[in-house]
Amino acid sequence: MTSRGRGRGRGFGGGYDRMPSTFTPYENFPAVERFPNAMDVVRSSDPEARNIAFEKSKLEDFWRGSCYHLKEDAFRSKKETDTVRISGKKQKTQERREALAYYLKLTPSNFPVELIQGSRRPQPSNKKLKWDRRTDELSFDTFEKLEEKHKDKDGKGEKKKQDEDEEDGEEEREGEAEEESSDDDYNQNIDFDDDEDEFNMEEAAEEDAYD
Amino acid sequence: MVGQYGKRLAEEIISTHFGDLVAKVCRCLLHNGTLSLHEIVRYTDMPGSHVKNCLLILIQHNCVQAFCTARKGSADKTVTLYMAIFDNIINRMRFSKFLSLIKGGDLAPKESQTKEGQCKYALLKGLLQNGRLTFEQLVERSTSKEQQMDRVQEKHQSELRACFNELVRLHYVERCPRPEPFIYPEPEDQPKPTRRRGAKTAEQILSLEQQAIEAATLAESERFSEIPESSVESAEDGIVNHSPATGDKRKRETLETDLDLLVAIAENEVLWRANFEKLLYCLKTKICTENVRSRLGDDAGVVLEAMMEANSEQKIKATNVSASFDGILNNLAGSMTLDRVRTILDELDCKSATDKLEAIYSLDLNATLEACKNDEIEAVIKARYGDQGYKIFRLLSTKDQLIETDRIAEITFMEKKEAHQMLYKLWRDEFIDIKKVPSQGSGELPSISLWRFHRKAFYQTLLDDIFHAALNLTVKISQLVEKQHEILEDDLKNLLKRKFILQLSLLKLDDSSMLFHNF
Repeated sequence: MTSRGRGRGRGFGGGYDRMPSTFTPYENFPAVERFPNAMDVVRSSDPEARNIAFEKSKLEDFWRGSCYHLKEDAFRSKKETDTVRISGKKQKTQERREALAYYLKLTPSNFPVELIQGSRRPQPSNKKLKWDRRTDELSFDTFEKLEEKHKDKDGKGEKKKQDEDEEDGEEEREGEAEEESSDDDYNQNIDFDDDEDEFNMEEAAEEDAYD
Repeated sequence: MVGQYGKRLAEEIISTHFGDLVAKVCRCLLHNGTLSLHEIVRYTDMPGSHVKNCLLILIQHNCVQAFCTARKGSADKTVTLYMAIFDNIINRMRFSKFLSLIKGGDLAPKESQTKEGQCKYALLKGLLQNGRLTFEQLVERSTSKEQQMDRVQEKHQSELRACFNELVRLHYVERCPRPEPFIYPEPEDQPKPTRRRGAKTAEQILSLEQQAIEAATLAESERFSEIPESSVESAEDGIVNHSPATGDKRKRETLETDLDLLVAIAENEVLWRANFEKLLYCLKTKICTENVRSRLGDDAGVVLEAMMEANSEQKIKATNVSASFDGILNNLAGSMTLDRVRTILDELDCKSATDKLEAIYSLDLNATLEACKNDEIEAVIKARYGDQGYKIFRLLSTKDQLIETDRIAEITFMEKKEAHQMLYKLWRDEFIDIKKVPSQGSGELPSISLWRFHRKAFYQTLLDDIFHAALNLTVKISQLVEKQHEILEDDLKNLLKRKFILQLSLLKLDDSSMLFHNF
């Protein structure tokens, strides 16, 4: 009777069942006796599983850089008192909407009516849409080279591959920078009154990044 | 009922793929159920235009279904409600596995890649990347990198159409469901149906969400109707036009323009998407085949695979597989003798029946699925609680009754104190249930503990644990990706290595989640 309602560690079961009531702090990461060797895990997995893992990373990189990935900037700029930013925000949502409108077929037969009310239909343009970005190809290539490097334990080949690696690393960073600049703020100062050519502007800004 | 970690995992997946804004809307729908646009704006505190964009993206990627129903209180006003489709969000983790199902595609071994396989692979990849596309968009996408002459482009387009139709025929690709079906609300004044003793099972009362999904799904024939060839092309190929032999030129012309119109609609207006049901069924086939192969040998695995592919009704949740003998033989393509096939079918415990002079074999997959699940469970329990814990667990799971601590300790040859500690750990992790009973008669103990195993509750807990682990892996991978942009090359190698290992683990874990959630 007395042991009821005392809390779990104590009167649980009573008698010989009584648990030692010492308090042990909860272990978030209990020690693991033996970690398997990382590269063994990679080498022992079958090539199909490895290819699937590569492909998964590529897909995730694609989505990160696609028009479907909405950034917080448009939302944050609401709080800014900077006038440029405020008009930039409107432009940004419009920009995003425009980009989405090129890829999504916004008709009542495809989407609920209330979501597409008020959106301007883009003119059927001959503009070539960017269906696939460069960056995922680059990061995949980098990893392929790293994998080959590990397979090839020859010391001679290593130094050569290191040089190639550095080049690739730079290329990839450039590629990433290119991607970032397309969404960055500094392209907003260019002609934000022109509503029509936002998609063009985005492309033009990217070209600037090469300078 | 999805546990809390399942919902968090879904939210994290959306956040990784589409950003935090979309994830916020998704989270709102997962935690609060089906909502209207107005309610979502209120809950998320985001401007209406943002919420609309987010919903558009979620619908485009098949993660949300909208439907129309009458507004509460007023009979003539309607409101559009949005519901999150949990299964499709989780499916996003396995898109690359779906791609690996394409025979001869880019994920097949290099020797077996074919041009057709690569074409189908590219088409399916386009659909998985973009959620929904028209055929015209797919063509544009495939030619976007290359500059091609018009003539070549036409030929290329007809090749693409052939590959695409093949995908539709295999049911890997389907037409998109209706965007906003109308659901008749249940009249509120109708009394609930009373149970009649011995009556046949009453129609299952579907929830609003299930009704919406059903109403949105197109009929089978429409869902998988291929893109017809235009009359121009069929004339070129010399295919006879099925026009009535009345010799009426005008009639033929109208039929041709009708056909052209149909083709135009099918190519430019109809949205297509990947058919997750079929793709999951193929993954189920793979897992079951693997299990049977390890238990009964390679041949048995091959026959089971052929049988599941010839299955007439390929539903994911169905545990009954039935296929005609001819269908099975077709899929085996003569690699085994008839006798051998029959022996194996007997070994697999198939029941045979004759329907219209055709031999039909049917198999209950429950045994195989249980075997797969038990393997997983064994691995988890042994890793967490050791062999002793596993002994106790097995005892409880095989005996479906309340057993007291002393008895358990007796049967498993363990010390009472040890047994009790282990049982307590299992109970704390919500794997087993406890019931305290006041003990009768004299004795030092005020009450006896009885332990019981509940299969359903256990599966739910285990599934939530699996989702929890998947959530941790996904978050860690995202962190590594963020770091990727900021670090130097030497660390980059290391980072990519770690990311790769985590991806491999996540994909393995995903197999278990399919086993306990989808199959």
